[in-house]
Amino acid sequence: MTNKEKYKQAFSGLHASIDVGMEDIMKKKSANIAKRIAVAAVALAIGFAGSNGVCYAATGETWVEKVFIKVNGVDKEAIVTENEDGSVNYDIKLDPYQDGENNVERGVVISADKEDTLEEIIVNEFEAGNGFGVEVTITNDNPENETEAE
Amino acid sequence: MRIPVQELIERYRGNLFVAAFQICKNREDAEDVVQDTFLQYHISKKEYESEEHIRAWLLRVAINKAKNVNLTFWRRNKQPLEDYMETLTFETKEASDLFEAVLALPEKYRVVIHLFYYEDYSVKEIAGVLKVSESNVKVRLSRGREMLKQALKEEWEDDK
Repeated sequence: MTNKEKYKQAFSGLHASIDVGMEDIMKKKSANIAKRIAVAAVALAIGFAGSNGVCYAATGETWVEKVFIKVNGVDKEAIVTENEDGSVNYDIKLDPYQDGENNVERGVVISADKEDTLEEIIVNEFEAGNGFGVEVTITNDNPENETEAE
Repeated sequence: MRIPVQELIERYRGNLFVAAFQICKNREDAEDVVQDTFLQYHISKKEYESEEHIRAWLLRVAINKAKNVNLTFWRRNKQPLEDYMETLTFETKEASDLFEAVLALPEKYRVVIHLFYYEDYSVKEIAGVLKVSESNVKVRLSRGREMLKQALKEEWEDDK
């Protein structure tokens, strides 16, 4: 068996679990619009609320900080972890979204330099056009029904 | 020329998914990339010279979108690769070893290796898809092969 045949065999088990059709693409188009609206709301709200409480906990080599923020006026907890390269991740868990019988977990992770403040990061990245990524599950074609970030 | 997006989906969604997966290493992200790529084709009014031109464009867009997912400021909760691998069925242990060895390669070698061995592209065609020089592709291909050889020993032939 040649290397090409071996390679193709190795990757032959990979299949998308979704059926991509025109309907899905149009839903995606609607979702993109919804995402922008949802993230605009989240980013602006976080940008103004900022972090208002801090505590620390040691977890081996990586420190963990909990930052309490307001997202659209609701208190949320952001877990802050330091990466090996010295950058920092702010992991903000949002409320699950109900999709039929399933709870869809949602959250955003923001990577930044350790010196930056959360407010600066959110505002700068949002202004730079990077405001995307909040999980929005599509249940119908109306983006107005899919924009509740919180 | 243009080909209806539904026809392209039937022909290339599998290829785009595998190309995106070997960069993202995550099923959900790869599926998003596939949808985004077809959406971009659907929205764009670009005219193409041939179906081969469309295929190369789709792969290029999918690869770039997948790289962006890895670099993106916002990331989604992900299913670990190890968990996903447990759901995959490999015909042989060698196939499983090769799959893992490829995904362990640095991204720049992995992409070139994939286009050569899975998509059957030549060095010149890969250079065209990735917009890098042919010599650059040759170096990446050579280093990627060396790494696979080191990881897989006799399971990977020398095919320079």
